[in-house]
Amino acid sequence: MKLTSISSMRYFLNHTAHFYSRTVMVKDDDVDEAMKILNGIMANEGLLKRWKLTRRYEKPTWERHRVNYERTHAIYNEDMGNRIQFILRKRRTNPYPGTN
Amino acid sequence: MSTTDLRGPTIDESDHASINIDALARDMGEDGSVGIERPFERHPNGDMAERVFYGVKFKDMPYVQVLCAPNSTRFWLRDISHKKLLYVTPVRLGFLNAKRRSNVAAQAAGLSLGQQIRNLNIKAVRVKIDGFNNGRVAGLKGILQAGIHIVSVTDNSYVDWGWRKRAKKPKRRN
Repeated sequence: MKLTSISSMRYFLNHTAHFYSRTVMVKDDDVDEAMKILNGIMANEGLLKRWKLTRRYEKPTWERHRVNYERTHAIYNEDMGNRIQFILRKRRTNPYPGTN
Repeated sequence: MSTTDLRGPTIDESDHASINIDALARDMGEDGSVGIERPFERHPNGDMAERVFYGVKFKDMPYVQVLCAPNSTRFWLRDISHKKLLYVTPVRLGFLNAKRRSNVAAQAAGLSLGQQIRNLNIKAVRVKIDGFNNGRVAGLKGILQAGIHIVSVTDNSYVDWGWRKRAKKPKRRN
């Protein structure tokens, strides 16, 4: 969704429940652990990646290249994962096939 | 300006009796014992606003706003009405030019902020961070060095999913 006006976004940011979303409580002033968890949340949700991408304008050609690369990468990963799953499958009648 | 306005009502002040009794009641155990230690929760739930940390309710606690810009790490202390109480930058402490973007500068600024917070008679703060840079963790460590407790850490960095305002031209690729 593309937000057209800045003011609507500001309104949204000012009226949401701050200190609830994307928030980690700190135990015994152990900030390192809390920040590790918080960075993990940002990375897993894909916010960190998007934040990094939007520091500079990404030209449409470069965006196409990136998306195509990601697509092929995902296809390759899925295929290779299936192959590994196939080789490492369990519950065989003969636990070590080909060794008899 | 009284200290109560700055750091929020504490549970041991008589002029906020109704609030304090309410706050104490929320933190009572099932058997009626007061000041019981609740089990630690890593992520806040619905009644976190009413929980008491270091004598102040979570919702009444002032917060530190950290702006992690590429050139420096800047700190604001704000009360619950978002009013500015303190502002610290590495440049004011003598970190000039490229030195202000280092994590040492961020830690020094955090330490300076913490010492000024201590003068305001504030024990604990919440933290709200915007952006990613070297001083992201180091700044918080500076606040802790001054003896201020950090209760929670929030990431408030603005993430854009459509080009709301077109970003700067990318650097040249050779």
